[in-house]
Amino acid sequence: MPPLAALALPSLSPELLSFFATHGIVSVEDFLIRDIYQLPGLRAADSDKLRKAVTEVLAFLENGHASWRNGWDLFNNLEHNIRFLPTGYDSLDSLLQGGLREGTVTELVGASSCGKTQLCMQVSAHVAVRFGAMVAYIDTSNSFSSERLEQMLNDLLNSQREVEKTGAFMQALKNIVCYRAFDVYSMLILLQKLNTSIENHSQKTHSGRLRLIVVDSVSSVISPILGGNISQGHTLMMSIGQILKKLAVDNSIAVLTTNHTVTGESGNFKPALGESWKSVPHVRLLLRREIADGIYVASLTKHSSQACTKEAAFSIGRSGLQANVNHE
Amino acid sequence: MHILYVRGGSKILKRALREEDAQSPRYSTQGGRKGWVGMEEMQAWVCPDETARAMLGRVLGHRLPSLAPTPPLHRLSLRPGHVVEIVGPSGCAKSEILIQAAVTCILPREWKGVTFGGSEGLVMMFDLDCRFDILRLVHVLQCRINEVTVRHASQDKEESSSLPTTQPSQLTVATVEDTNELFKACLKRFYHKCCYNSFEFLATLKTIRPQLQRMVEDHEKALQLVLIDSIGAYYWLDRACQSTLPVASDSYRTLSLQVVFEAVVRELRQILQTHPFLLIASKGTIFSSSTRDNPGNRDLAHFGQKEYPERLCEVALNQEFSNEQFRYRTTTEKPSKQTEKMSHREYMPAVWQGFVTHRIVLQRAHGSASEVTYAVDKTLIIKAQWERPFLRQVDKFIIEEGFIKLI
Repeated sequence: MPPLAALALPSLSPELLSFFATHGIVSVEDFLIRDIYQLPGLRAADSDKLRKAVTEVLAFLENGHASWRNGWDLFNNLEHNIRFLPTGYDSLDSLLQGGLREGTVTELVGASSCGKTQLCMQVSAHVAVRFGAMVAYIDTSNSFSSERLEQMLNDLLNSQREVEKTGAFMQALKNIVCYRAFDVYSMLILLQKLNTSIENHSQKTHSGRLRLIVVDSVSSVISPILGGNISQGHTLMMSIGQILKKLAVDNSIAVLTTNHTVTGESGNFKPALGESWKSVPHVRLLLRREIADGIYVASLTKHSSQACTKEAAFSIGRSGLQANVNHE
Repeated sequence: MHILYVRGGSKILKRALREEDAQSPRYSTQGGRKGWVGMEEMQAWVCPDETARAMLGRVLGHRLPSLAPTPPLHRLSLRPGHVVEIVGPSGCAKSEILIQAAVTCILPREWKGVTFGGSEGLVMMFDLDCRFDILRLVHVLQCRINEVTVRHASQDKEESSSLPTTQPSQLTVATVEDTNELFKACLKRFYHKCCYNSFEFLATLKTIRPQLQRMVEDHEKALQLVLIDSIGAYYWLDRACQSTLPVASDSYRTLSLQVVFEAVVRELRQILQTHPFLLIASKGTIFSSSTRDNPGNRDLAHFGQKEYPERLCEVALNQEFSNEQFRYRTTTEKPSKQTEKMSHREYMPAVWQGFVTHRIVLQRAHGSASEVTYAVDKTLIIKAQWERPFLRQVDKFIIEEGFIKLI
């Protein structure tokens, strides 16, 4: 947060600023952590000026943040403005009450080759084609494949006539923007840039609006910095979690992240990002692969509004996730 | 035989002793002489203020119903001014308990002759985790309203079954409209705000007064419940926070977790002075169970948990002679030695710990929450135990549709 002087509020006179400075109040943070009215050495004549200045600073801060909203407004907003982005596979959509919800962070947890990246790419393709919306795909492990995306888009657009198909295909490809970040700092910079660019260009209502951010995988940039006795890694991890949530909640964007698994102490698998990270995603889907069968199962392990008792089985074909051929 | 409860007993004793030292005869039937204690005066001293029966009547008569009577918070009577902390790992229904408490608070006590058992107050939720889902609140609210109206309707049916039923369909339509109106009114009493860091949270706390004034005037209802989900959300961020600005003077206080929470507690206390409310905060355990066992870790949670007789007395006094508590104490069989004290690792600064008056610990009944279990947990059973004040009983509950049910 900025220094108080940078706010350029008329009531913050140079005398008052220097009075604050003698008490060590320079930035907005300092202002917030102190009880301003209890500062010693304030002349009675200045107390009115001080009160005015405090009110003005607080009003300034209040403007910068979202205001209190009542439950009825939140409910109406959800009914009218929030969409569920379908994943392109019906069983999974019904598991998720209709798909990835805008304004939430969904996480896929699973060992490698469990279909995490496939699901990420499929959702991106569907959002780009069906909604004509922008997708930011942040690739941290070089797993994004444009050939695979091309296959998926081709199969999605198969029903359309040849003339329209090429245009739609090109448009969909344009809509998916792939960024690469291989360490936590470049990832933070990238997310910050994304946040400021969204704030500056208020989102257009229909096409061209950013609706989905995919981070595949978030754990591969974070897990190298975790561990040891230094808490710096956790701070960076939570900073990434915080900005992902901010992007999602403030701009009604669906965020999809992936988290790989590691072997825990007792030989069981556990997510690479542990207890602290659990407070980040709204929805957590656990992916597993049945041995040798080519069957994948997604089970819900955390959801902000429904019980976690359901599963969906699928297999992965040319066009992406599909119903399990062997069983259905 | 009567047991008398006398106020100011020590004062009487001191004065009586002093009189004894002075001279005899100690008692005079006339009384009123300087330095002498009159018999009537003495009798007035030892005369009981009230009998236990009268006191019980007085205490119970003044007792308001608990603001959060839903399980697992049902064992204690929670009132404005209390600060409850719900501790547990992820996936232990912490947010669910907050939502249940909110729904109880926003529901009216009575609506068009139907008893809903709520307290019709305002609820404010600081969503520090940004994971509040309005759908869940709506679902829980609808379940509660439905349950009550269905029960009420069936009661009506029983009462009117002797009479010929005239127009049952019209009656149900009216109830649906009524419940929609009720639903809307309830939701409007719930206020929510997302915060992304501690300073935003602090700014919200500092600017809350005019907002609160407006809300109270709009609804003509008092703020009863404040929820924080979850208070430890910015632990890692605040631990690292430092001021980048040059140190200006000696009185400069560097930013730290401690300083941030001092400010949070101070602001909350100030708001509590003008608007008494019940504060319920959830707190996730950010350290997994494996790190908890490290020998180097200070396990503050274990501290002061040993059950001394004094502690039990303190617990009994805290209950304010509530007869339910005594019933619990006598009827529940003594737990076996294996009954573990559910522990967790404390990580919040002491200033917050001192602010908390009640603490309940949650845990999954079986399996470790941190491991990936490949079997879908169809019956998630959660254990709950009060740590402050310490109660032996471990409640087990499940979440079924929109309700928390004890098992």
